[in-house]
Amino acid sequence: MMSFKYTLSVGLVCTLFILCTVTQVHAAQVTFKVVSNIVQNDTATIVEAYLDPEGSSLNAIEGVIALSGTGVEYISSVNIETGGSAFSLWPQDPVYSKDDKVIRFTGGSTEGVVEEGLLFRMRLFSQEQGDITLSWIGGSAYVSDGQGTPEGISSRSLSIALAQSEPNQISKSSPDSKPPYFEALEVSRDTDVYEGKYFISFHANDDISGVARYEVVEGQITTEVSNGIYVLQDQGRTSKVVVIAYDHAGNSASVKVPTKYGLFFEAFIAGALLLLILTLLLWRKMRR
Amino acid sequence: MTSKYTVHVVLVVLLSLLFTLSNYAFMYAADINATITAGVFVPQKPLNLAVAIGDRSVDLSWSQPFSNGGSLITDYIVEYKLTSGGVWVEFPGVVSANTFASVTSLSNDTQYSFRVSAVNDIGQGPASDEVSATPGSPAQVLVTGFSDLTFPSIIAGVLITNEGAVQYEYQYTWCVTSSDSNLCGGGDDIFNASAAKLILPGENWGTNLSSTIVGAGNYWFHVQVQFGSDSSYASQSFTAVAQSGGSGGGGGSSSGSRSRASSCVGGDINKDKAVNLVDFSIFLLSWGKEAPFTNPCVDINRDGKVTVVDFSILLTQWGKKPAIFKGI
Repeated sequence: MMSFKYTLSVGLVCTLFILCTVTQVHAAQVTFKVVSNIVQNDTATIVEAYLDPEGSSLNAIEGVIALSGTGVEYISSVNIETGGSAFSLWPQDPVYSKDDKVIRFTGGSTEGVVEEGLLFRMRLFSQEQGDITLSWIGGSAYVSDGQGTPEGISSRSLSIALAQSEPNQISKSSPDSKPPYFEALEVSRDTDVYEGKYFISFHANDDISGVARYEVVEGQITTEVSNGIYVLQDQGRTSKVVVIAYDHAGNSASVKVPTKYGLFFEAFIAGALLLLILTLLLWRKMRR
Repeated sequence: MTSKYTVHVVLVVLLSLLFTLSNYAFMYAADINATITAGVFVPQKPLNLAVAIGDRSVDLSWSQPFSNGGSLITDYIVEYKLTSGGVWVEFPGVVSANTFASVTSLSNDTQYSFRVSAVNDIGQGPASDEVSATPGSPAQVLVTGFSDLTFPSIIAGVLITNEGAVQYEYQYTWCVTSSDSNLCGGGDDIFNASAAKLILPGENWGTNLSSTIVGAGNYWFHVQVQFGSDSSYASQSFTAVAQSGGSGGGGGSSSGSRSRASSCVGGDINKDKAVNLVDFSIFLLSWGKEAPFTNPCVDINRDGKVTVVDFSILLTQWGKKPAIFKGI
């Protein structure tokens, strides 16, 4: 009897120990949530995707999100905004493929994401009411350890009774009045790329609607750029070059690219010219 | 004479009655007018009701109605019922204008319908469109790697974790397709199989799944674990090789680029002793490509491909002194 009791106790302790030591495999979590439209007349269905690193520091993420359901055929467009995202660099911008009915993306953060943050915001436009489901169907996050260590992602699908929406009304009703801001701009040259020509690399961010496109104005030529790289036409680097970033709401910010002589030299020339004009004026006044 | 007098009296009474009635009519019209001017009604129906399932629970989120009826929305009423029948039951919750809620104490593997209506000072508005969902114990699924990539059968390691608080029998399906977006059962599976497993709460259950493929080449392995009306997915690309080994289909970098790559230091692609936007822009030029590369330094982990792994390593050295990738 005593021995049975003892065995039972040992068994219970062992079971409890096993239960307590069962630990979940660590994985980051992606969640989806429908949010309200801030602006009146904005009929888009807004879904935000969030990443919770669950205690890790993650610096890169790639993923595929599938749209399925009876209403998916009615979706006329999916606009994706990265404004306010925890990730600021996008080798592959989140884009909806109408053929595959998936959103693919690759994003990165130089500092690493350590707490739950916005991944991106999807604005869904549907010609008719319908049911759709958003599901994370593949991808990984990577730990900021310099080794490219992958971390699995766990996610739950979101099923939505999608309302009808009108895409035309949206662009004018955006609540974003804050312009983008430039985070970096570099002029460089590398023998391995662009035939060793000078090129500029730039990156801007926008907290609300996200950067939509860039324009580079070199002398009289304006070029639309999407990826933050522009090979200079004037390799002598004497032409005036301005980079303009536009957000999805149409706000813009510009930055001047230093010429061969640098901004200090330009300021020096301008100052010298001003001084010369002032001297001439003074001289003329004194002569009278 | 009497009849004339009577007619007069009746006429006067009728006229005064008409006058009184018209007065009432005007007053009533004025009342209606006042109501219309004030323009306060119950809110319209909430939009885009969405549901994500959990273990014996669901998370709901929705968008505000187009119109709040002229008065601020003070609360949302969440109702649910068995989809197969039954009456709508209000889920008790705190009074809140938040556009999300969790409905708990449901039964797993039972289909429920949900709807939400907005409330303002005037009253409760019409209900949203319904959504239905079947709760289940959520599973996390990971592809841990491949132990055999030799044609004609490949073996993938898979780990399934029961994230809920109750034991649950999971139906899982795995398949091989030619694309990352082709899910199992999409009609273009190269291989497809399914099984079931009862997993305890919190348990990590690992298994090796075998698939048969038609030849050496690039494929995608997908696994789908169903719980309630939802599924968890995981996928990974792989390159199957011929049994003899031979020339190998893995895509290793050429020896020429390898020797040049030996002078590369981490994410410093342009070799200016700093990792910054310039390196990133050169890196982007080779994004998604395979060796040989114009600048071999873009392939930081030297696996013959420029992928998110290289990107992650580059980002860890951002703004810092570059360091040689230790995994080489």
